[in-house]
Amino acid sequence: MGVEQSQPRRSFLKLASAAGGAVIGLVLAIPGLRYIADPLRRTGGQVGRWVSLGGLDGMPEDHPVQLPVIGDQTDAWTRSKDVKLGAIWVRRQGDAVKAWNAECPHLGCKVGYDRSKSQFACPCHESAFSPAGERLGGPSPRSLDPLQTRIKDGKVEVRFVRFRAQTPEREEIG
Amino acid sequence: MASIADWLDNRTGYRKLLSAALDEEVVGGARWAYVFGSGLLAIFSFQVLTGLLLMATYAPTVSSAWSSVFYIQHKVAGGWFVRGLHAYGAQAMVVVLGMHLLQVAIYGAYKKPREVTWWFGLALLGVVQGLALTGYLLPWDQKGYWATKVATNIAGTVPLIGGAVQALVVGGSEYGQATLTRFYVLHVGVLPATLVLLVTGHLYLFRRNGATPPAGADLKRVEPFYPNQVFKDVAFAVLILAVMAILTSISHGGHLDAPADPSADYPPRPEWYFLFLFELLKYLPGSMELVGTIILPGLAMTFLFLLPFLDKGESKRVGDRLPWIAPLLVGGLGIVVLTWMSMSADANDADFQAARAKAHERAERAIALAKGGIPPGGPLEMLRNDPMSYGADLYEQHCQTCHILDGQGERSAPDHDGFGSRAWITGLLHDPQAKKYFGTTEIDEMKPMDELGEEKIKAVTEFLFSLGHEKGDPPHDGALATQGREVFENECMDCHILGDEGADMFDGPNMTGYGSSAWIRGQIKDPGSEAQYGDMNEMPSFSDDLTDHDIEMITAFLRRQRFAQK
Ligand code: FES
Repeated sequence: MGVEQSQPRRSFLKLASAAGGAVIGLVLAIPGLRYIADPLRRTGGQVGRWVSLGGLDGMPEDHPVQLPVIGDQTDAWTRSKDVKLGAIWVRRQGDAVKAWNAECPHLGCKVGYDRSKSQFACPCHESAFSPAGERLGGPSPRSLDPLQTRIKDGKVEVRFVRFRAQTPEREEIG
Repeated sequence: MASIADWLDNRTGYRKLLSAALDEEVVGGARWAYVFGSGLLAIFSFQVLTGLLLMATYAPTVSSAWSSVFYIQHKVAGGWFVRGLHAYGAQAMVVVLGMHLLQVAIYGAYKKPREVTWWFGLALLGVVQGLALTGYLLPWDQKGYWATKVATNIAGTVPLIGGAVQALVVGGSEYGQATLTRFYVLHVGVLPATLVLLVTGHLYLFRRNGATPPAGADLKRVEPFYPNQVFKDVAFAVLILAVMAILTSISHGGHLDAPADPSADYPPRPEWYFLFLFELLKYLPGSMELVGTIILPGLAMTFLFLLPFLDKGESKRVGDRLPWIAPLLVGGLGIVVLTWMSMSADANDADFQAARAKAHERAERAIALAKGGIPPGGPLEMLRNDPMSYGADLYEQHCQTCHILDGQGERSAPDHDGFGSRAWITGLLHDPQAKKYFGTTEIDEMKPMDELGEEKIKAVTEFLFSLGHEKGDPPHDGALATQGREVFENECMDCHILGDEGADMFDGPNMTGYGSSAWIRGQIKDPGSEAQYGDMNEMPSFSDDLTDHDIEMITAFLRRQRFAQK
C-alpha cells in the first residue's frame, strides 16, 4: 500500500485506540467514583435525636456535669444498641436544664470544665467558655453549641446533634 | 558458573542493566552530602517490610483494630519490635526528609535543569505526611482518634470543597468504620503506590541529570557510583536502622493508648513533627483560622514550588542566594520555635499533665484487661464491664457532685476515700460530725463514741467491717468481731438496726450487711428504704437514671475502697 493510503488509516487507528482507552477509562471511572463518593450520598440523613438523661434529682444545682450520650448507632454495616455516641455538658438551675455538646466548636476536641476557674476549657488550643457556654477566649469561632432540652414524664431529655466545626454560624451535621 | 551467567545475560541482558544502575559516574566524587535521598529509600523499604508484617496481624475494623494492635504489641513474638520499627521509621522519614530538603536547598540542586526533580520531591513530601497522618489513626486508640478528628476538621475548613473533602475521607459525618477503612486503604494502598510512582520519576530524573556537586567542587574528579557512593549510602542506612532499633528497644516499641471512645476525656496532641502547626492554631482566632490551616502552609508550598524560578541565577554559592535561602531558614527556625513553645506549654500545664496521666492510666488498665482476652464486641465492650474504668467514669458523673474521692468532687455528703475500710469506720466512730463524714449533711444525731475507749472502738470497727464481708475478700479477725458485736448490741442499737433488731430511739441507718455489695447497691437504688437510711436519708435515688448494669459497676468500684491502703 502506498504512503498516501496509510496516512488516513493511521489516523483512524490512533483515533480508535484513543476511543478504546476512553471507553475503558469511563467504564471503570464512573462506577469507581460513585462507589468512593457514596458517603456524600449518606450525609444529611437523620439529624439530631432525643436522648433521655434521667430525672432532675440526680443533677446538682448550678454545677455543670458531663454525661455520655448513649444510644443506638448504625455504623456502616454494624447496628449496635446502647453505644457511646459522644458527650454533653449539662447544667441545672432550679427546674431549668441547659445542655451543650461537649465537642469544641473549634476543631472538635472534647471540652472539659475547670473547677478552679469555673469555666469550660478545651484541652487542645486553649479555647475557654463561661459556665453559660459563652466564648471567653481562644480560637473557637463561636460559643459552645447549645442543645435543646425538654422534660418529659419527669425525665430530662436532650436533642443530641453535632455541628460543623470551625464556622461562625452553627450548621447541624449529624 | 561463568557459562551460566553468560547464558542468563544472553537471554536477559542483566549485565547491562546492572552496569547502568551501578557504574554511573559521580561527577565531583562521592559525598556524604548525597546520602539523604538513598537514606529515604532505605527507610521506605523498612516501612514496606515492617508494614507488611503488621498487616499480617492487623484487622481494620472498629471492634478489632485496637485489639489486633494490642495483640501485636503484647502477644506476637517480636511484635513490639516490628511495630516499634514501623513507628520510629515514620519519624525517621520525616527527619531525613528535612535533611534532604535542606541539603538540596543549600547546594542549589533545584536549579535548572533539575526543576522537575525538585517538584517530584515536593510531591513526595506531601505523600509522606499523608502516610504519617493516616497511619496514626489505624490503632483506633484515643490518641489517633482525637488527633484525626482535629486533622479532618481542619480539612473541612477549606473554602467550598472542604466539607465534601472531609465527608469523603471520614466516610460520612460520623467517625467510625468507614473512616478506619478509608484511612487503611490510603495508608497501605493508595499512598504507597503513589509514592512508588513518584519515587520512580524522581530517581529517573535524578539519574538523567546527575547529582549536583557543591559550588567550587573539583568537577574533574569522577568516581563510580558503585562502590564509592554506595558504601556511604549503606553506611547511612545502617546508622538509621541502628537509631530506630535502639529507640525501639529503649521505649519497648510504639505507644498504644486506651481504645477510641467518643465520650471519654482526652487531651489530644499530634505527632511531634506536626506540633508547630498545632501550636500555631492557638494564636489564630476563629476568623483567622484559614491563615494557619491553609494559607500559611499553602504559601510555603507555593514558595518551594517556585523556588527554582525565583532563584534563577547561575551561582550555587549560598552567599549569592541569601534572599532565597533566608525564607527557608526563617521558616525552619519558626517551626523549631513553635514546636518548642508547644512542648514547654504542655510541660508547664498541670491540667494537661493530669489529663495525660489519667489517659495513661486508662491505657494501662485497658491493656491489663485485654491480656485476659477481649470479647467479640471489642475493647469498648470489655471496658464497659470494668468497674475500675467504666465504674469510675459513672462515679465521677453521678456521685462526685456530692461525694469527694481522691481529692475530686463536691462535698455535701460523706467522703468516699477508704469508704467502708477499718480506718474509715474508726474515724467515723470518733467524729461522725467531721466534714469528711456527716458534717455537711443534716444527719447530726450520732455522737462521738470516744467514751467507749480504744479497745472497744477497735472491736466495733472490726465487727462493722465484718458485716460487709463477701466471698473472696481478705479475712478479718473473727474473735475481735464477736467482741465488737457485743459492744454494738449494747451501745449502738438504740439507734441502729441490725437484722430485725434495734432502733428504739431513732430510725438510724440499717447496718445489716453494711459495706457489702448488696448494701451499696441498695443505697444507690433506694437510699430511703428501711434497709438503708430510712427516714434520715438525704441522698437521691438513682434507680431511674442508671441501668442495673451501671449501678453494679459503681457498686463494685466503690466497694474497692474498703480495701484501700490509705
Ligand atoms: S479544638 Fe478546642 S480549642 Fe481547638
